[in-house]
Amino acid sequence: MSERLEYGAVEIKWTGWPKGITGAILQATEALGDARADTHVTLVVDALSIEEAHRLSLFEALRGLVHSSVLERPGLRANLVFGGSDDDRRQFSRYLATAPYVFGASIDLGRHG
Amino acid sequence: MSIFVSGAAGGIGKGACTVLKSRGEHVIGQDLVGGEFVSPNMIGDLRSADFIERIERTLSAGLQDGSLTGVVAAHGVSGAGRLSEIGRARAETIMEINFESVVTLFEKVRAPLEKSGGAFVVIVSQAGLVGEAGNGIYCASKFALSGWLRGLAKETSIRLRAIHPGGIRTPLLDNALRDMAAAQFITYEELTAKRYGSLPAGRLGEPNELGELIALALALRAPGLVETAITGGEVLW
Repeated sequence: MSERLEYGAVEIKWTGWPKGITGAILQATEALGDARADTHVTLVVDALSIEEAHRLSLFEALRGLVHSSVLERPGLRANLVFGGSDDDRRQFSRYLATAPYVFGASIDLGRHG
Repeated sequence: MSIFVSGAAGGIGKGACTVLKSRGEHVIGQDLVGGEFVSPNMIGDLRSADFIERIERTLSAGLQDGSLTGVVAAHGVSGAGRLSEIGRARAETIMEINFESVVTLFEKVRAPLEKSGGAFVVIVSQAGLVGEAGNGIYCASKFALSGWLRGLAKETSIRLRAIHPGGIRTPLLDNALRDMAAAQFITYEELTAKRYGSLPAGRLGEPNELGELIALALALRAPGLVETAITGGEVLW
């Protein structure tokens, strides 16, 4: 397991516009749908060198899914860490692992790695 | 001067057409099925490449006085269901209809709208502003539209409008509420009482009320993206 996949993280792969939005939602739905209600899942997306409209669309789509998942399944602690550098993502994922009051949070760490 | 409206056979699209027609606008309606405002050559599925090409040809060639001044993307499908149960095929269909086909439609009307200084109005949803239990894929499809429009506003001269309706009395809402009730293991009556019983507006909205807002959104001259919600007070935004 890579370091990025520690702390309950699920890495979401980008496959291109616009189908990649649907693809990301399908990946995230599988991860969140399969998760037990008492677990912590962090969706993680790398920094992407893509058009800003596409990047914001991906961020918002995953944010909407994460919001809905925590409302749907009380006890499931789902969050989203999006973009930025490997180190920033790792730090924020580590924080989420020790922050039991954070539910349905989404953070955009920027478009540059 | 013409305005293209998708999803024109019923619900919000029909409400928009009703108001626009009453104001003397030339409306070209599209839907999967025929209807009062649906043009005979505009019956088809927006996910079909052949059909979307036909729309592009029609809007480029056959318009009254040659100018497309507005497009209203009012089509969509309900998509309630628990994430663990909704299934890949259903989730993909919801994303294709509610999100991908709007993006594709925009690309096909982009050139004539940029030429006319027109407006592209997307009927998003309050589900594009806040998450909802038992409605995750639908929310994802609508959040995706919100993010896309916010980024797109920086790269086009087209006036973009995102309208976020809440409970508007349409068949789509009724279907969604029934599925959401099932996903939350409560009855339809319990869900509607819980959700709408204490609305500040005290009732659901009507499609023509949203149609009035759509007509206004088309007329506003503000450049870039204008976002507004019409939710009866359910979501304050």
